[in-house]
Amino acid sequence: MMPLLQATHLTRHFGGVMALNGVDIHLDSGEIVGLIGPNGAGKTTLFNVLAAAIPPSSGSIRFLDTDITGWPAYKVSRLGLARTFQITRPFLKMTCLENVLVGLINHRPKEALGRLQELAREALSFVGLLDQCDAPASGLNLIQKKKLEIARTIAVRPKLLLLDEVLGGLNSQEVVQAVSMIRELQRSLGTTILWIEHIMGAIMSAANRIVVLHQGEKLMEGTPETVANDPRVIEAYLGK
Amino acid sequence: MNERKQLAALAVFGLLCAISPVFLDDYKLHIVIVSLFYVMMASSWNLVAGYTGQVSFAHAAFAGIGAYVSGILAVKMGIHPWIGVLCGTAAAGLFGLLLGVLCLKMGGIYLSLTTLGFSEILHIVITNEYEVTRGTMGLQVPGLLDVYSKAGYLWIMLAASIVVLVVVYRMIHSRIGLNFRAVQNDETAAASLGVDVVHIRVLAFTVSSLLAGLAGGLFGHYLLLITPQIPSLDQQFLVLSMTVIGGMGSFVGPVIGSFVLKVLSEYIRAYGEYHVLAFGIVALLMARFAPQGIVGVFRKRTQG
Repeated sequence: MMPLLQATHLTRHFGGVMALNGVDIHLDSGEIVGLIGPNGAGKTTLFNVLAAAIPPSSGSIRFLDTDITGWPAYKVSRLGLARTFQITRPFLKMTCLENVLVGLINHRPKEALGRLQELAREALSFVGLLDQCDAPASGLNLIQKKKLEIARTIAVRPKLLLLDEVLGGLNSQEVVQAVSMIRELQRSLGTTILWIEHIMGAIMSAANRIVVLHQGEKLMEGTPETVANDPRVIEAYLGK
Repeated sequence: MNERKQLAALAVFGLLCAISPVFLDDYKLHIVIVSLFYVMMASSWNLVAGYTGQVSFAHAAFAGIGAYVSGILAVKMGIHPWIGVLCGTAAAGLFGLLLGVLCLKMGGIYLSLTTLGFSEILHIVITNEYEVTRGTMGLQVPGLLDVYSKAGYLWIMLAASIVVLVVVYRMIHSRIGLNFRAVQNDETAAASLGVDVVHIRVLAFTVSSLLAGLAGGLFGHYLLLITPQIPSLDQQFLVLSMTVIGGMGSFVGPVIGSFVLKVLSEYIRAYGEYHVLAFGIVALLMARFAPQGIVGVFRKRTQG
């Protein structure tokens, strides 16, 4: 079976800095894959390249059997690849419902607006933000903004969801809630998830597979247990 | 004031304008007609600046294109002004589309710079192409009406203003309007959700230019003399001030700004051409301290 996403030899440099250096990564349908690595390993750059926010310097990306290398971000999004931002980017001067509607009207231009509003409410309800429906996004706190960000992406039912540190800033109880929510997402909708996270306990328990980046290169990948016990990974994080 | 009340107030005001020939003399009617020209200009500029966050300095230039295309067609080829206005409107839209496609991919400050350049180039060409445009002497053009009547022109400008406002209103309350606001709020996030940012910007810019062309075309045939004053930067900054002072990004703001500033400028006319400068300073202060303009100040008052 073809993988859902296959990125081959992705390279991205900013001037002389190699942020990504020949990274190969594949994702199978329905997986939750954790993407970890020390600060500056290139995790967010990989997300930006996969979601077409920036083009790769070289390498190619196939998604849903289509070569999407060099596509503009909006087309990649419409094909079914959604992402959240590490620093949340809500449309501050719009209501929560409108925030979610933006994706829907572009993904389903022919659907009646009433139906889309219904779907938007469903997504807000899934993340527990339904009571903020008509409130402007500028009034939300950090956790609510993260929830809104997730609601926006899942409303369009993406095939692949890139989550960029959605647990940052949450307390331990909220982390447990968020993890079960993301698992529920994968279970009920079959969404494939690539997930950057620094909270190791959470990502190790939720992921089927872990990919480790270090200095722009793929250090290793494997099941959470193999990765957690690998001396190279421990070295990358803690030094020799 | 909620939106429904604002619209009701606007409707009452429109009605008042419609019956104003009964109680206003010709000079005051002239001010209302000019104000209506600015209503069209400011409301359509607001579509780009207020709703998609792109500051264009070529709006007066597009009005100039509308006016000169229509005027030249009438003078050189004897084409009826009504048809000329339609041609002028289309020409302004076409120039808007071309300029938009050229520079909207770059976004941000580049649109402002390119439109500023375009505006100046157009102004210079019109001033110097004496044979065609009669330069600063101005081009004498026929009127829209067979018999000149202030009331008649008032109704024409009022009807056109209503058309412009309806187009703007319908756009900002549609899916397109939602996309406009998403692009203005955060274009990276918008693109990640499937918004074709460049397409949305070009669309807003083209429609806005088209409406400016309509306003300019009609205005030229009202004045009967088209001068390079129409596509000038003075004019552009006046439109900018009206929008910012009235309330950028709100529907009624530009309407209020247009009337308030036009009427005011008649009162301070005695002090020469300084009113544009004065309005510019007021607009700057408003942008800093009351970014939502007169409409915003009102909203705060009524909400307590």
